[in-house]
Amino acid sequence: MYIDLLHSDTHKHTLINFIRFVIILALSGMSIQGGAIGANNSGKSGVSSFEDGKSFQPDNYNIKHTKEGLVSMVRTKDGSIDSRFFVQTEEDAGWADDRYAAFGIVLEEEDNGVEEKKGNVGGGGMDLVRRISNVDVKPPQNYPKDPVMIVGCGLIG
Amino acid sequence: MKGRSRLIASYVGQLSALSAIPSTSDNQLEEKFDTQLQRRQFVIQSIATAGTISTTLAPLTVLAADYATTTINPSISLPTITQKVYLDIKFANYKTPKRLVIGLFGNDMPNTVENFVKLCTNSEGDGPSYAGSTFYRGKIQCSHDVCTCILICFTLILTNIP
Repeated sequence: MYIDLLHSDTHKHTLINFIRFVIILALSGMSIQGGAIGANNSGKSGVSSFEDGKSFQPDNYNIKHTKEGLVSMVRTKDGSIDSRFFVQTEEDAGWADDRYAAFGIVLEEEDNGVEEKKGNVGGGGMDLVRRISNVDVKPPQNYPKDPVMIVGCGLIG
Repeated sequence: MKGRSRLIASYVGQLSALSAIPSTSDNQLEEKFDTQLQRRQFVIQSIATAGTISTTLAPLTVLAADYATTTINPSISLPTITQKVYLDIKFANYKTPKRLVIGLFGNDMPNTVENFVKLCTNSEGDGPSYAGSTFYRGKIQCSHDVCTCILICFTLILTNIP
């Protein structure tokens, strides 16, 4: 069967989408994802802090993914965002540009108020992010075998 | 065919022009930029090659153009950090959590940041909070070699269609 890809818009789009998918595969390195409130361990859904936990459209996609440690929101099928986020663990994540809204960056700071004890895990900042990305995972969905939990959170200053 | 090749050549030309951009004296930054450039160049060249091999894959050159023009200099400074939040992260085998501090770009992304801050500051009963949620990971494990193979196979299949 001969498929005329050049003269059929549908096929052209399918092809371009497929190649784009391959490129995303090629360019995507590691990222850690979290914040799936109400869907722990599955990451399938999240809840926003706005009314009824509805997902909403991000402000813009202006910030490009050119720095390690950038924090972006995971997008749903229609491009809106909820509570799920991911941390970029490589310098260039061009595959995420114009698609995932970056809004923050991991800072290399001393532990604030968290007690240091013997047997504690490494430092904060990107070391911590790398540690999370290196935990053993269960294929095929790649959930961490032992839970890595956010036990507390809040605003500084 | 010739026109397309010229088109591709001009994209590749754009890339080499980019590498000539005088960057800051910071050597590390230059290195980062080089790595980024090499990676993108690799992808663009693969796509461009596929485009020249087969007429059916010609639309790919458009995509190559996309990537060529979106190459970014990582020395671009990030927006100002307006707020800082922390996430205390606990691993299964350790008693004490570790603190991850995240700086937020409140001026550039007001709603997104407001949502994130609320999710960090909500106490029990107020609304949803990150406290108690775990990291999951949807990491796609695929090496460059595997992807190149997929790309080549796909090209071969398409070019062999009678």
